[in-house]
Amino acid sequence: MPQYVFKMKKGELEIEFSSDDAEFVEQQLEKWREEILKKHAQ
Amino acid sequence: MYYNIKIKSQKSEFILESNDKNVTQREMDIYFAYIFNASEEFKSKIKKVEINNTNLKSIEEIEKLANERNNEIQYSKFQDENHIAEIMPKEIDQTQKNTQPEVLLEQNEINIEHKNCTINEKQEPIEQTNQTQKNIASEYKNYNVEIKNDTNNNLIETETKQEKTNIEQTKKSNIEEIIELARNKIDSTDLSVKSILDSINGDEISQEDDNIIKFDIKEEIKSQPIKIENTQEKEIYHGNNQNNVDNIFSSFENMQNKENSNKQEITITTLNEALEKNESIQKADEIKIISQNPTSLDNQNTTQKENTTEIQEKIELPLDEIKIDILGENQLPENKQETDIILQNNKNIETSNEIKGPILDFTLFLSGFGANEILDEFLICAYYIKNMLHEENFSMKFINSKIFPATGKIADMSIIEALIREGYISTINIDGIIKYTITKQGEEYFASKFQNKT
Repeated sequence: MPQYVFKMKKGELEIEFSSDDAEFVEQQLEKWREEILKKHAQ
Repeated sequence: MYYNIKIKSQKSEFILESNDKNVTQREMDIYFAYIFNASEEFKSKIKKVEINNTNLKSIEEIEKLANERNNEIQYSKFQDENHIAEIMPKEIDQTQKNTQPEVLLEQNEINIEHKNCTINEKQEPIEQTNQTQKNIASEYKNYNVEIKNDTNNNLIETETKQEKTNIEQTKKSNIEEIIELARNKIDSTDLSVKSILDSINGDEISQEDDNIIKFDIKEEIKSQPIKIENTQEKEIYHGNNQNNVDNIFSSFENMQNKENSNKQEITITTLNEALEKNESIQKADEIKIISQNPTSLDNQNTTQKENTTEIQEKIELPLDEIKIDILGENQLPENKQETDIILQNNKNIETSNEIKGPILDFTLFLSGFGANEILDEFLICAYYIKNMLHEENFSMKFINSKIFPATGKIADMSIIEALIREGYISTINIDGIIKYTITKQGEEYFASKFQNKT
C-alpha cells in the first residue's frame, strides 16, 4: 500500500502529514499547490 | 486508511491521528492556513510541492521515536470518536523557564489552532513577565493572526489589550476553555483554503468582525513593486502600473528582435542610398563579398518579416550584386592599406567637413571606430549622415538603411529615445513628419569618444 509524507516548514515550525490514502493526499496537496501557484501568478 | 498530522517545533510536538478523512481535511486546511499565512517570506519560498512515498513513519513509530528521543517528554492523550490527539511538550527546565517564555507561546499557538488538544496537567505553570506578554503579542502580530473575543476576558486578546490580560492566570485556570473557545471561533468561520486566500486578497473577510481570524497582508502584496532589470538595455523598471509593464514587454520584444537579427546570417543584397547616389565612390569590389548561402535569401526574408516590419523594409531595398557579411566574421578592412585609408579619413572628419570628394560607405566608415553597441553605432551613423552625406536630418527608415547593412542590427524607438534623453539626438517636425538630427552635443560626444581612438 502506498504511503505518503508531506512536510511544510516555516522557521522552526514544521507540519508533517502522512497517510496511505493516495487519492486524498493528491487532492489535498494539489488544492494547496494550485492555490499557491495561482496566487504567485497573479 | 489513516491520516497522521504532526506539528513540530524545537520544543514541542503535536500529533494527530485520525481515520476520518473529512476531519483530517479540515484539520489540515487549518494548519495549512496557519502556516501559509505566517509570513510572506514563507509563501515566497514555496516553489514546488513534492510527495514522497518512502520512509513513512507510522504513528506508532513516531510515538516510539518520540519516547526514545527524550525521556523527559511527557504526553497525555485525548480521545474521542474519531481523534487521538497528543501533546508531547518537553519538561520545562525550571532553571530556564524565565528565559524561554516562547515555550508557552508555542503551546498557545498550537492549542489555539487545534481542537481536541489538551495540556498535560502535570506541566508546571510558567511564570509570566511583561516581556513574555509582549513576545506573545509580537509573535501573533508577525503571524498576521489576531484572535479577539469581546465576551470572554480570559481569551487572548489583541495586542492593544495584551498587557492588561493576565495570561498566566488564564493559562492556569482556563487553558482548556481557551482552546475550546478559540476552536469555536474557528469553527464559526469559513477557513477553507479558498476563503483564506480570498481573504489574503482582501475580498471577503471583514476587518470589523471581532470574532474572526484576520489576515492583514493585503497592503503588503499590493505594494510590491515590479522590478525587472533589462541588463542588455541597461535600464531598470520600477513601479506597478500598466505603463511600466507595457514598457517591459516592449523592451523584451525589442531585445528578441535584436537577438534574432544578430543571430541570422543573412546574405543581403543591397546598397544604401548613399552608394546609389555616389556609385562612383564605392564599387562592389571594394566591399568584402561573402556569399555563404545565397539561396537562403528568400527564407531569411521570411524570417525577417516575422520578426519586424522594419527588417522587411530593409530587405526589400533594391537588390544589387554585392553581398555583405553582416555578422562581421570577415571584418572590413582586411589589409593594412585599406585600414590606413579609413583611419585617415576618420581622423579628418573633425576638420574636414568641407572636404569634397569620395564619400565613404557607412560600413567602411563604421569599421574604423570599433563600436559594438547599437547606441554608439546609431550615433556614429547620425554623425555620418550629417557630416559625410551632408543631410541635415534623417528618418528612422533612412538611418536603418545604413545601420542594418553594416551591423545586422535594427535601431528601434528605444534607441533613439535613449539618445534623445542624453541630448545627442533631437527631433525635427517637417510637415508633420518626425525626423531626427544629431545635436552639437552629440557631435561633441562622438568626437570625444570615437575620434580619439583613431
